[in-house]
Parts: sequence; structure tokens; C-alpha cells
Amino acid sequence: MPNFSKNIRMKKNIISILFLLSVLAVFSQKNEFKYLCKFKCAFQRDSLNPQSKFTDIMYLNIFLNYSEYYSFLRQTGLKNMYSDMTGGVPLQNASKDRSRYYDKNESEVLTYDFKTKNLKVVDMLTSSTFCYEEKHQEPLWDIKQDTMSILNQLCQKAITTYKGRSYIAWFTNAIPYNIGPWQFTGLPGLILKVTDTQNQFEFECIELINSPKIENPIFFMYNDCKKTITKNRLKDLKKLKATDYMEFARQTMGVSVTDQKTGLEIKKPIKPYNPLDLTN
Amino acid sequence: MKLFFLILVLPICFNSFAQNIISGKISDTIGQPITGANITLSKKYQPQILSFTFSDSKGAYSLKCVNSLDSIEINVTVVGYASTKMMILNLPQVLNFILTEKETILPTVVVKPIPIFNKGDTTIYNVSSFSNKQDRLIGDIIAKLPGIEMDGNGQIKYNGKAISNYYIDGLDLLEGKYNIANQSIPYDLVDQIQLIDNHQPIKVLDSFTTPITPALNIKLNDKGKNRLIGKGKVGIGLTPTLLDNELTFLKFKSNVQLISSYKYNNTGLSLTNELNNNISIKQVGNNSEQNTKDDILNTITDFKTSLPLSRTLFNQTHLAYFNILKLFKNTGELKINLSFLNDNTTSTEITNTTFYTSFNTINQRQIQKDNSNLNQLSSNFIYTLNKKQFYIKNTGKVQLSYSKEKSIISDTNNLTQKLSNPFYQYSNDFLLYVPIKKKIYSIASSFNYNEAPQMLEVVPGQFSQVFNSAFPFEKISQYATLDNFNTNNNISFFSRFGKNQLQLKFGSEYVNKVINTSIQKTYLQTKYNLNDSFQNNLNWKNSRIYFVSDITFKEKKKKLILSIPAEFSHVSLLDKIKKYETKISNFFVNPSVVLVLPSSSNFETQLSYNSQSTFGSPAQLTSGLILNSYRNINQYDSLVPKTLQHIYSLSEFYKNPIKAIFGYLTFSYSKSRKNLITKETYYNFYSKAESIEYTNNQFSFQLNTNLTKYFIPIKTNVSLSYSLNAISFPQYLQNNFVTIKSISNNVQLNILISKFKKANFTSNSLFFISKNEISPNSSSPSGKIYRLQQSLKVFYFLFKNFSCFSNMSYYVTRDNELVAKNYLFWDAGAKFSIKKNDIEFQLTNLTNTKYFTSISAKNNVKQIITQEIRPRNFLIKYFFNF
Repeated sequence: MPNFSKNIRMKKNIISILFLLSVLAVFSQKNEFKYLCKFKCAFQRDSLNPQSKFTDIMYLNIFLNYSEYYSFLRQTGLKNMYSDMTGGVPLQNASKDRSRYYDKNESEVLTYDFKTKNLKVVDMLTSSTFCYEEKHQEPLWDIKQDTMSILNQLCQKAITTYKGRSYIAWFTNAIPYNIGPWQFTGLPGLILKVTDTQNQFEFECIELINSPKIENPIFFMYNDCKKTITKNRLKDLKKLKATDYMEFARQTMGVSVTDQKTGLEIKKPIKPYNPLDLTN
Repeated sequence: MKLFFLILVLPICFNSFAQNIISGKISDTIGQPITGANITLSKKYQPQILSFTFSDSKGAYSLKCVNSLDSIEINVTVVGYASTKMMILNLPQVLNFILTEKETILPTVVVKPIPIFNKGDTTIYNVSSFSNKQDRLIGDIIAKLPGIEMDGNGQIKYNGKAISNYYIDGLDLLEGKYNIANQSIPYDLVDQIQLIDNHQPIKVLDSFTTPITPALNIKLNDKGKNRLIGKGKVGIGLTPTLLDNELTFLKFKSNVQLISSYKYNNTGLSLTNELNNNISIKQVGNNSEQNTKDDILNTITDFKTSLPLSRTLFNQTHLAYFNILKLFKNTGELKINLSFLNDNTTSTEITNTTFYTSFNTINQRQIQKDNSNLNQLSSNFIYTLNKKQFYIKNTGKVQLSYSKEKSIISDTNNLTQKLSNPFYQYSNDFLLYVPIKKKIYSIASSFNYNEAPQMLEVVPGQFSQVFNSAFPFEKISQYATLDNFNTNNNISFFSRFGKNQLQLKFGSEYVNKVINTSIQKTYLQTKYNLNDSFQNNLNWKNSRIYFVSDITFKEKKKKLILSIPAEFSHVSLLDKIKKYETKISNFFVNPSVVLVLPSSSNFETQLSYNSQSTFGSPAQLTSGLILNSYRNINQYDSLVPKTLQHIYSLSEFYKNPIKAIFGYLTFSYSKSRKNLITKETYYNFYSKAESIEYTNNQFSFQLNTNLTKYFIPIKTNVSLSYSLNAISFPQYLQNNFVTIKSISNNVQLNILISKFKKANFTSNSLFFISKNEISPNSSSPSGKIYRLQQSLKVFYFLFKNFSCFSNMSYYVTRDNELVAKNYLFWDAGAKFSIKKNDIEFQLTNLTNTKYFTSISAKNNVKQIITQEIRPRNFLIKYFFNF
């Protein structure tokens, strides 16, 4: 009797170990970091001022079934800031001196599922994280016969009008991923360069790394997000944060900044805002 | 997996259709549909895609072909499967594809980082763009960055301006002793070197004042952070037995930094300059000359040769240091810097010294063998609290050093001189800034006490006619003690009006220096203490009250800094031997003005004027005779020396990091008005210096210029610099009033080529010419002295893990009287890399040059020094990391 129960227990153990291994195998396969494309992006923050261009480094991490797209500088900065705070640098100091860690880099992290074509968006505005999920609206491309070499890859031209702007894209079918920077998908190869026709936005791939052995720097993931929000509300909040930070602080954190002398709320001039997505 | 692919083609022709539709299904070898495969059509032999589609979740696809061609190429690609390409007729048809699993080899294209770029006020150098296999330490990289110069003491200048802070990942662990970091941190732990202009380290002052000197930050990579890094070196060689060992520990975390090391060598590698303080910030008050060591006695080893020290240094040096920085949760920062140096050196020199006077010359020749031993313990304890609300910094320093020097001088007169030279210093600086209602108040307080009880012993006794009625005697011992106490305290106030700033400072300084000297002679085995005329007991007190108003006018990046310091200074000098007291009071206003004019983002002009009024040191007021060295006696029975100096300078800086061009041009002219003149009298073997009252002017002119261009595509750095120094001053020489003029020119061209994978080249060329003149006598003391140096260092990277180098240096020295001396030095070596460790073989002085003669001139003195050179050496070193 003891031997029998021992055998059963052993079998159970073996089955559970096999199950665990198979789960791990599937999990690790799903999360295998296949390809990394680094984009240098220039965004014109004020549509009327060509001098207001801001440069960011965006990463497109490609896994087996999905991709992630985010600002490397923002996420690395957040990670370092968090590391410093847990490592003894006082919270007040670190959060006040945020500019030590990152600048006005893009805060949005996009996750795109290749099979379901669902797009998950997570955004950290100040210390709050907001997220939503939607069916991805794919651009409709018109491919042209022009070619150009980018990073030694032969690229073909394609044009589209997407979310209120007209774009010229360059893709390579030597890298058969149907994705690109931001929400540009749907070409038969990786998109290495996109510019809008008004020259306000530019995405250009600067590095391609196969099977990258680097640590994923994303500081906050979609699954960490606790505040689901509608797409339009998030767009409104982002616009408010960029144009009128005082009002944004009042609406999201209940904080208002007043002048010590007059006691009146401080108003700052409305700043320009020029988002990629022009749809309402 | 077995590699195969199978294509099932089921063409069905529908000739009657006007638009051709090709459809089908994409699946894998076990029949599972493949989603998201790219199906494209293109012309034969042409890469351009005519139309495309993707397979859906069931693997199905449908594609219109709008081209009128007879045949087209269909291509199916998807990551993880072998791609399929075939020519088909341009007809409506159904094509099913079965794809075989196959790893897709995707391209990797890594772009090398931009070597230099600008980010706001910061110029960023990517270390990987400048590093080569021969480099080991971050100091090696900094020294060759375009726009950066590092001098022999390790001081770093960025485009001609000395840096004011040296940070490691934003923390200032070492302050001015940053050579420690340069000589300890491996370059591969560093990502970037950042030069920050307009950097204000004190947060309270952030929006008030910005220094015009740059700061340097070393940005570590992930390899350099959050772990204890150990590295070591074991070196052994011949001849004689050579050792070169090192053990270093480093740790850089966000809240703790540590650099600790022990080093020993007898290979000619000087370790003393690692402890040099290369940043001198006048933190408290204006007069910071009080803390420096003021030697009364010395052994005359002033003149330096043009050779690198490593060729002439016979040493046994131990150096240990421990530097730690801890950041507390309240943002407080505690730094402890401890170091111990034990340095033993020997040298042999043959010196021919010529003293030129207006009507004759005096020659001295001697062979001098020196032994010196220095033990120095330094400790700094620094606490800083740098917040927006307030700033506190307290620096406590203790330095204890004891040095012994022994010289044996032969030829004209065999004698031995011994100098014991201890120095003990204790100091504390305190600084507080508090903002109150948009104004900043500051309190600064410092005190310093140091003592230097020196003793010089000369055997046999010298200057017998002075000390022993011309009878030869056995020994003379000179004792000299200098005790120095000073304290400086001030309060200041910063305010802003519009874009402009105002700082008012009110403070006082008290300096007390006590000098005691006495002479003892040994004659016929009896010791005699000499009488009052050979003794000094001076008590010097200098009290200053100062009021400084600094106004900074700002217009965008243009700045005008106007400083008007007014001070009342009172000096009292009590000579206890002569029993008399002198008191002098003076009121000085020494204005200074600095104008900073950035004419564009690349050009900046700086104009400045400042004046300084200073009293001389009490060491220049000793009425009793002092034997400074075996051949000098001084007697300054004079007034208190006063100097009023006016300095004018004009600088033009050019900086274009994008094009990697850096340059500067600095003119500086100064006029010093002195109330005393030095009277030098030379005898056959010794000289005597006195001071006499005579108002005189000293003029000096300096021009420094440098132009550096880094050619990015060919990884070549070219740097050309020129400097001119001219000085003119009067002197009372052999009872004659003369004017001494001295001019020196220095041209230097450095070229570094790192383009080639298999080799690197470094060429340094230097041409130096100097001229000294004494007027009214037309004959110059030494005529012109010429010096030419050319060195070429080549590194060959023969294999991945093996490299070798050859370093050749050629020196030519000549003057009007001496036939030109030419020297060739050649060093060679090889390096094997085994994983993280290296083995290095080094052969030094292959030509086995034994002696080196150099000529130098200073004022009216010319020296021809022949020095012993380190012999041919072989050294094997093992570098390891753990």
C-alpha cells in the first residue's frame, strides 16, 4: 500500500513537472524575443513651428505572436528612476528631478497581437497609468515602384492616408514582418521608414538586431495597468497635459497651483499640441 | 528538422475572366493553416512588388493581378518557414502552398554610435567610438578626445578651460583628485564622457549663478554599475628585479561609490600624480593662498628635463587609497577619501650651472646623487546636503607627511646634505546656503593650521667665512619651523533683479605665521648654536576685512560679471630677535570684470581684467641669515613686500562638436608693481639673495592657442598648438641694475590615426625655442635653446587576441655653445588577451641609452643637466579582472 501511494505520488509529481515544463516551453516560445528594430523619430510638437522638432528613440520589439512599440529613452529613464528610488535616492528628489532621467519622450506603449490584430495601448501620464484595447485599424496602402536602400536593405515605397495624415513609407520584404513603427502595419515586409507629407513626423530605422540578447527596458506593461479608459478620454487627457498642465493636474490629481501673494490659481499660456492621430 | 518543401499546384484556367484572381491556402507540413504569410506578385527578376496580400486565420488568400504580363513571379514568405518563389502564368488560378519550417535568418545591422554630439549645453563623447584595443583605463580615452587636453599632472582642460567638477555617474566622489578615477576605471565600463557647460552643482544657486568653467561626467554602462569590480596587475621584470603590482576594487551604485586600490612599482611609474588636486576652487573668501606649503629650506632639484619621468625615475613606490561616497535618504552625501603614499626615489645628475651677470659669468659643476623618502597620509571627510531648500557642505582635511632627502654632491667640493621635511596640516571648511524669500543667504567659514618643522644638515660645513671665521668646520645644521594658522569667515547675500544677479559678501580673514630659524655648527667636534644674526623669530599677523560686491548682468547667453572687492588689511610683524615691531595698514580696491560674449552657438569671446594687491610672505622678511640649501644663504632685511598686479586677458573659443572642431586663442598680459627688488650676489660656489627697497615693474605676456579637428570618417585626430611666454623684470645682479627678458615658443602637433583595423598610429612632434637676455649687457646668457622632439607609436593588431606595439622617440637639444645632442629611445611590446585577462610583454629602452643631457634656462641661470636613464628593461605583466 505505501509503495502504491508512493508510485502515484511520484507519477503525479512527474506529470506536474512535465506540465510545468510544457507550460514553460510554450510560454518561453511565446515570449521569445525575435527581432528588434530601433527607430529614430522626430516629432514636430508645434505644427506651425518647424524648429519645435523633438527627437526620440523608439524600439519595436518583435516576438513570436506580438510586437511592442515604445520610447526606449522614456522607459529606460523610468526604470533608472525607479531603481534609484528603491536604491536609496529619495522619492521627492527623483520625481522632482525627472528631467535627469527622461525628457519629453513618448509615454505610450503599444502592444500589437499578430493573430487577433488587437492593439493594446498603455500610457503613463505623470504617475497614473491608463490603458485600453481595440481592434487595430490597418492603413490601406498603395504601393509604388520606387526603391531605396535603408540599412543595406532594399526598400519599396508605399503611400497611405491614415488617421488624418498622409504618409510615405518604405518597407523591405527581406524582413517578412507585416509591421512597422507606431500603428503602421499591413505591408508585406517590415517598414523601415515613414515620413508624413508635411514633414512634421519622421520614423527611420537606425538598427536591426536579430535574436537580441538585451534586457527589455519596458517599465510598465499593459497587464500592470489598473485604470481602463476609453481611447477618446485618454486622447483628451494627453492633449490637456501637453497644452495646459495646470488644468491637467487639477483634473487628474485634484491639485491646483496658486500664487503665494495673490492666492489666485496660476494660469500658464496654452502650449501647442500636434498629435500623430488627428481623428476625433 | 528535415528540410524539404512541397508545393501543390492546382492550376485551373479561367481564360474568360478579364481580371486574374489567384487564390489558395497556405499551410505547414502537417496541414495546419499559416496565418499572416505574405503573398506577393512581381515581375521576373525585378524586386518591386506589384501586388500583395496576407493569408487569413484559415491560411486562405486571394490576390488580384492587374498586370498584363504573360507570366509573373509569386513569392510566399513568413518568418519561421522557408520562403517559396515560383513563376506562374498570369491566369486566374488556385495555388496552395505547403511551407516547411525553417529558421529565417534576418539581417542584423548595428549602426555605430555618433562619436560626438551635443545635447543642450552638454557635449557627449561615445567612448566606444574612441577606444582601441591598446587602451585600458578611462584616462587613456579622455586624454585623446578631441577638444580635451590632459597635462602631465593629469589636469583636464576642455577647449582650454580647466574643468571645475569631475563626476562619476553624477556623483563627485574624488573632487580635485580625479586622477584616481582616470587611473582606476577600465574604459569598457564607461558608455559616455559628457562635458557640461554652464553647470551649477549647488541646487540652491541653480537659477542664480552659473560657472563659466565646464564639468565632466563619466556615464557608466550597465557593466560598470551595481556590482563589485575587482581588477589586478602582477608584473615582474629585469634588470634589476622589477615589480609592478596592483589590486583595485570599484563599486558604483546609485547610492554608494567606492574606489579602493593598492599599487606598488619600482619600474619608473610615478604614482604621486594620482593624488594631485587638480581643482582649486576658492570656496571661502578670496585669499586662498594660505593653505599651500611654503618651503624655507630645499635641496635644489628645481630644473626638469624634457624627458618623460618614467625614463629617469628610479623609484620604489607604494600607494594605497580608499575613497567612498555614501548617499543617504535625506540626499545627504558623505565622502571619505583616505590615501597613503610611500615614495622612495634615487637619481644621479651631473649639473653644469652658469649664472650670467651683466659683466661676467660664474660656472658651477657638480655631480649630485639624491635619495628621497616621502611618507604621506591624507584624509578628507566631506559631508554635503545639496537640496533645493538649502545647501550645506563641511570639509575636514588632515594631511600628515614626512619626507627625508639626502644628496651627495661631489666634484668641486664633496659634501652631503640631508633635509628632513615634515608637514602637518589640519583644516576645515564650512559652507551654508539658505534661500529666504527669493534671496539666498550664505555663511562660509574656514580654518587651517599647518606646521613645517624643517631641518637641513650639510657636511662638511659651508660658507666658513660667514659661519666660522673662514676656518673649515665639520657640519652645519639649519632649523626652520613655519607655523601657519588662518581663518576666514564671511556672510553673503544673493539677489536677482530682472535677469541680473547681485552678490554681496562681507567677511574677515586672520592669518598668523610664526617663523623660527636657528643654525647650529659643529666645529672641532663641538656643537655651537650661532648667535642672533643667524636666528629668526618672526610673528606675522595679517587681519583683513573685506567687502565684495559682484554684479552679473545677463542678456540671453551674454554675461558681464563685475566684481568690486574692497578690503582693509592690517599687518603686524614682530621680530622677537631684533625686538622691533612693524605695523602696516592698507586699503585696497581690486576690481575685476569678466565679459562673456557668445557670438554664435560655436564662438565665444571672453574679455577679463582683474587686479590683485598682496603682501608677501613673512619668509621674505627674515633678517637673520638662513641657509636655504647647501649653496644659498638668504637674508631679507627689508620692508614688507607689496605687489599690485593688473591682469588683462582676451580669449576666443570655438567649438563645433558636430563637425568635431575645437579651438581657442588666449592672450594674457600682466603688469606687477613691486616695492622691493631682489638682489642676487654670486660667488664661486654659492649665491646670496637679499631684498632692497626699489619700486619696479614686472611684465609678462602669454599666448596660448590650439586647434583640433577629429576627422570622423577616417577616425583621425589632428591637434596643433602654439604657446608663447614672454617675461621682463628688473633685478639687482652683482651690484648692477639689469633687466632680464625671457621668451619661449612652443609648437606641438599631435596626430592620432585609428582608422585601420590592423594598426593605429600616434605621432607627437614638439619644437621649442627659448631666449634669455640681460640688458644693458648685449650678450645673452645662453643664446637660444632649441629642442625638437618626435615620437611615433604604432600598435599592430595582428590577430583578434594579439597585438604588439613599437614606440620610438627622438630628441634633439642644442644651444649656441653646446654641440647638438641627439637621442633615440625605442620601446616595444606585445599583448595577448585571454578571455577577460591580458598578458603584456614590454621592452623598454631597447637602444640602452645610459644618459640624457638637457639644457634649460630660467632668468639669468642656465643649466645643462646630464641625467641617468633607466637601463634596458624587460617586463611581463598579467592583468586580471574578477
